Amino acid sequence: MFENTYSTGLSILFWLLWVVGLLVLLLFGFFVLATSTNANVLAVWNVSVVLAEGFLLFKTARHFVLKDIPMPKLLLWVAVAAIGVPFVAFGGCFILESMSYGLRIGG
Amino acid sequence: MIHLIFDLFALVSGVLVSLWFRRQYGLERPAGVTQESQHHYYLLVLLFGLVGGSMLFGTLNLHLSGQTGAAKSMLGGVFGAILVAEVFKYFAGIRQSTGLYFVPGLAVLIAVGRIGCFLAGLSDYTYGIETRLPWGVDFGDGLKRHPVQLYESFAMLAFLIVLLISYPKHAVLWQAQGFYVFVLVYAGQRFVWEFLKPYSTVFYPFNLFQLLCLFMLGYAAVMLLKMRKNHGRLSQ
Repeated sequence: MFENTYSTGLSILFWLLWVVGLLVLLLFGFFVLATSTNANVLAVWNVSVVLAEGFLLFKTARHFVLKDIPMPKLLLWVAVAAIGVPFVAFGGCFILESMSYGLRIGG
Repeated sequence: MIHLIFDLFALVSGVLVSLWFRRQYGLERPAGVTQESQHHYYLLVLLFGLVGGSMLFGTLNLHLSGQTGAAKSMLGGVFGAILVAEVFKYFAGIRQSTGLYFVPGLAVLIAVGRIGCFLAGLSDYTYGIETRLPWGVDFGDGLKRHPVQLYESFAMLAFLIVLLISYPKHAVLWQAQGFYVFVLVYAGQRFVWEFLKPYSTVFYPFNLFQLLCLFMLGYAAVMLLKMRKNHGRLSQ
């Protein structure tokens, strides 16, 4: 299999975005706990976000280690995990309102 | 919650229509983007522009209107994406329009997404001002308001229908000018609907989004004129 070479700068950028994605996953993991007992529909949404994040983070990390896809494609997918998924996941036009679903219902 | 579901529905339908359009008319990549790595970098910067612009202008408008928190705006997102796309194209040496590739998906995304805004009601802060017109909608505060979300949704749907009917006959024209026509229509209709929204004015009588619309209308007009000029020069 052809092995790609990744520059140090782009590798750092990749892992920075990956960590942001991980933080998003943890945040929505918290939302799952907060909504699981009294808001089942929202809990399903939050679980879907966690699964999507988990899948993207696992796949991108695996491809990075195997070096089997070019860096631009890898960066695109990790950016989807870091900013694309949370952008959709918070939903609505009024983000704080959406965020408070997890916090308020949990509290 | 309903907005979340419609956001997802809008995204899925936008992607599906976009994929269908590209497959139907053999658009592998945006016009002028020749290499695969360039394509990925282009999509990457567009994603950053879209999310950055959406968050920046959505939140800014919220604060200018005396609300707290953070917000998203599709108009801000399109504005941000155009800005980064033009910078990217300049440095990548791409001189033609690349945007038609994204237009059908964007039109569906806005048309469906706005239904979510409409159904979300007052909490979404995208409703219109009070009206006596028979189609005014009470979102729960006892006032009949302009359903501006639906006005935008219908406008985008009408644009999409025109594009899908006209594209097979005028593919070359749409390829060259389609994105700028989309920007003209999108910014134009949004500029009008903004007069029916309760947002604070920034530069009387315009609110922040109307100023963005004016920039976008100017951008589209200049680009279309440039295209026409180049076309005239080539045909001489």
